[in-house]
Amino acid sequence: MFERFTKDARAVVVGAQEQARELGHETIGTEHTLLSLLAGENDTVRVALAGAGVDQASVRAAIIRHVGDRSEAGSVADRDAEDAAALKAIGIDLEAVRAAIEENFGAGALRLPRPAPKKRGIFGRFSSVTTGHRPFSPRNKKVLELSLREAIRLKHNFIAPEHIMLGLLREGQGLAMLILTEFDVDFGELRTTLTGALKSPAAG
Amino acid sequence: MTEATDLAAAASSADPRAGLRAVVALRRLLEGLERLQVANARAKGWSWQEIADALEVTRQGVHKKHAKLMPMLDPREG
Repeated sequence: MFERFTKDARAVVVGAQEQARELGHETIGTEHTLLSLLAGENDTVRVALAGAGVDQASVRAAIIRHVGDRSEAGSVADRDAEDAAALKAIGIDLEAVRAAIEENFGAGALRLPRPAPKKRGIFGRFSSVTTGHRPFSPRNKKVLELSLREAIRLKHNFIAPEHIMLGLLREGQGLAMLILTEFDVDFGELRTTLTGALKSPAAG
Repeated sequence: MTEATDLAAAASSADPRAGLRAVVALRRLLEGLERLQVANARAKGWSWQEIADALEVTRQGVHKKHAKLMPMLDPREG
């Protein structure tokens, strides 16, 4: 099936992996595919979504709101905030402790130790943290299969980024769709726009 | 509910999730403070024995835990 993907569509699939890696997420979900579609060279999808205020930055922010930023800087800040909340519950003000210590030892003196990333078995050092390899979520795989289905439906012998977006819409359940729902995207209109773009002679 | 009563409720919570999470956070705070203060003591020329006495642990224990992390502060073995 992958051999039917256009160069742009392949870039979307590869880009989704990159987006997941940048956010520190372990699995490539539909949300990363959506981000990749918005970052791609082919701008039909980007233009079609721009009207609803959906762009790369706003989707990235929405993903972080839903799932969190697991990149290194983000995760240190997150965990510190979690620790601060847990300590507050037993009457300890982490910020006050930190402020008192920084008065004597300088800014950033108190660093809370972080657990090392979990390693699995003897191949732990080849884990995704080092290799950057991440699996596609089952739902995201389904989206790619549905993009093929969309291409067949439209009698195309190739799969373009527009087909992937149509696959996302057809699957309908992932985080990408939840985010698009929050932006009040008109799915019927989007489907019509993408299908029209694919039928125009410029496409392909 | 005021913030004070919120805190009291959380502190007396019988929910293991909240209680254990507080233990983890405390442990991390403790470890952070210990590293900082041991490094400070070494920088001021304290021996490992003196630090161990102050921490109420064995010299071997404190040396094993901290010596590798601060080799630059280890001009003479304690």
